[in-house]
Amino acid sequence: MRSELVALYGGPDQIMGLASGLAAAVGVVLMFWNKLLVTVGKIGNKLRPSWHRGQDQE
Amino acid sequence: MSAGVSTVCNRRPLLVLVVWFALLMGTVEGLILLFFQRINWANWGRLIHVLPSIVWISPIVDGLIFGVLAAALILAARSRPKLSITRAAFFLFTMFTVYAWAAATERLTYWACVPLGIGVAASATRWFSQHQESVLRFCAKTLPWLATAVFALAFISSGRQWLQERIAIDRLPPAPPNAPNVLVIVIDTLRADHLSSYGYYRPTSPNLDSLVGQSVVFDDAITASSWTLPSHASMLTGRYTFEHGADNVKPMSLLSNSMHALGPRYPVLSEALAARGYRTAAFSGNRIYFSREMGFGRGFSRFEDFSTSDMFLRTVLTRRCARVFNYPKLRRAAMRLGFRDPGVRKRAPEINHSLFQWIDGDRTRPFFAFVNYFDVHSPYISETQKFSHGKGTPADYYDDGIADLDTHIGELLQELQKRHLSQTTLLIVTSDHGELLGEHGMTGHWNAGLYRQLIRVPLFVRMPGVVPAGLRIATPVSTSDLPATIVELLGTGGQKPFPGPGLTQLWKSSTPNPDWPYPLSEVTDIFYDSGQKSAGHWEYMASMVNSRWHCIFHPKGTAELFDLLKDPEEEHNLAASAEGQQVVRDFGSRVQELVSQRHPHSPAVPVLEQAVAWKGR
Repeated sequence: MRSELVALYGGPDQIMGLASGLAAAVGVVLMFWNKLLVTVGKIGNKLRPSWHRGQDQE
Repeated sequence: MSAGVSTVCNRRPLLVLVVWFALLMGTVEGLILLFFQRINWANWGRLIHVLPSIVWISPIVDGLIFGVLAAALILAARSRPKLSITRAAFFLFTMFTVYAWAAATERLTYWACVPLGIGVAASATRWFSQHQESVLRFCAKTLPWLATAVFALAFISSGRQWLQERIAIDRLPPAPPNAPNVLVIVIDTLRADHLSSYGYYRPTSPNLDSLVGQSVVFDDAITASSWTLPSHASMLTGRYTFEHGADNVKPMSLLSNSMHALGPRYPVLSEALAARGYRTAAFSGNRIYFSREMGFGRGFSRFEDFSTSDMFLRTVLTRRCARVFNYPKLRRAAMRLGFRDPGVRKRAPEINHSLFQWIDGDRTRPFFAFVNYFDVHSPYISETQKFSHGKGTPADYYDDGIADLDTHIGELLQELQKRHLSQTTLLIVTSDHGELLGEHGMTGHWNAGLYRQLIRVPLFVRMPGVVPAGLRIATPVSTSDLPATIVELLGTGGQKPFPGPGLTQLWKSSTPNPDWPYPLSEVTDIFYDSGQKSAGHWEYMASMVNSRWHCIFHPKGTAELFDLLKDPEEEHNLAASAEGQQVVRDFGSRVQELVSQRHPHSPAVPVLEQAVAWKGR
């Protein structure tokens, strides 16, 4: 029974804190998913030109 | 388009969303609650306690909540014309759905479910904004199927129990002519020394006291354990805990509906009386430990623990609202507004109503009814506050509960009289255990041991014309002897399905019986409360009582011994004295003799024998 529980989602109550933290983090990420995508895109765009610049200089 | 026209146009899709989400959310929530209830018995997680009817009640509750939310949105749109009611409703309903499903698993904290619900709802609403028309069409199209599924589940869950009861009654054999009815009343957590008829200084129990002149009263009735589950098991099987093994909650099987504490090894009183043609029913106020799921349903054609109406307060959202009763100030405010504490507490008036509705349903057969009143149990919540007046000691509040319940027991006695059942009913009133109210530095009864305040309970036996009236018996007796007593009084033609001497011998004989067996009490660690301990590692205590001594055997061979004549409050341990050591050894031998007579192959026996192996400390 214990192994079935571990397979399903099991363990002592200590894991509940960890799982709850992860769930809350997932929720926050989903709330700002669009903005997160835009921000990641902007960061990616900024990084790409400077990398290309580095290649040209070589 | 004006705001008013826009609002009107939005109402139909809004209604579709309300009903669709209510049906989906509620049904899945109910299934999750039922499924995880089984898993949560297996060593961790919080108790949930739902019946199959939750799968159709939850959609109704959620529909009401969503309806209120929808109405609030419509009102809000009047002052904010740009508000998209449909999108706002979709967001809210999705948020509550995710919250309820996540919280129902009892695997995440409730606070973590909030951001999770909001995040999923935000993402889903962004998607809904781009596909609004197709989603609404889908919801409208699938709504009839969802409704059909919920109706089918409702029919199956509620109809099944009714059908089982009808079949059980139809299969009963004919009852003996003029067979008396049997009504056993167990007042959960009632200790004998807080009743006026047992010498208490307060008038806590005038109605129970009225039974004294009509009954045999046992001054020293001892329960088989100091908590509900094993004590009730002993009262129904006639066996001690080391025999029936119902010493704790057992893991619930995932798929089957098998018994989970009281196993099928020994016959129970309900089965014995059903075999004699009795209609049998149990009405439980203690719905955690005296319930069908604990295995007590065997032999009862009806077992009322949680009712269908309870399920309205067992959904995730309503349970969160009911938490207001956990906070004293909020509880008092709610009670002033007319709300009574929900959750596990089922009060005596409701139980009495169910009992007599069932009795009146069929007067062609004798009945056996087993009633558990939970009103005295902690938390001590009283409507009248007769002794505490709202600001007293725990003992005052405890007495309040006794007084309140006594009123309802008086009503029950009147109802019996009104129906002309008083003369034809064997009435037994007792308790499953007592309560510590500060004695020995402890309160309550869970894991509190086996002191006298925990195991000495009242016991009244009334049967006009058969049981003598106004007789008091001082010999210590065990409540586990009740099944044998009831069967003796009913007459079984020589059959003895239950061990132990029937208590009838004590009032039929004019002299005390010196060979009467000393009552045994046992307790192990409570699995649920002591979740850190794994199966197989549990501490065992046993005690034995006679007219003078009470000996408690602790783990590892230590003991306490009290002289009840000189020290009824059990404050001075005499186990180390010369006389005390001899008494303890004698009691230890008696326990071992009892074990060898009853069931020497029980797995609990080695632990019991170790516990009573007195080491002379």
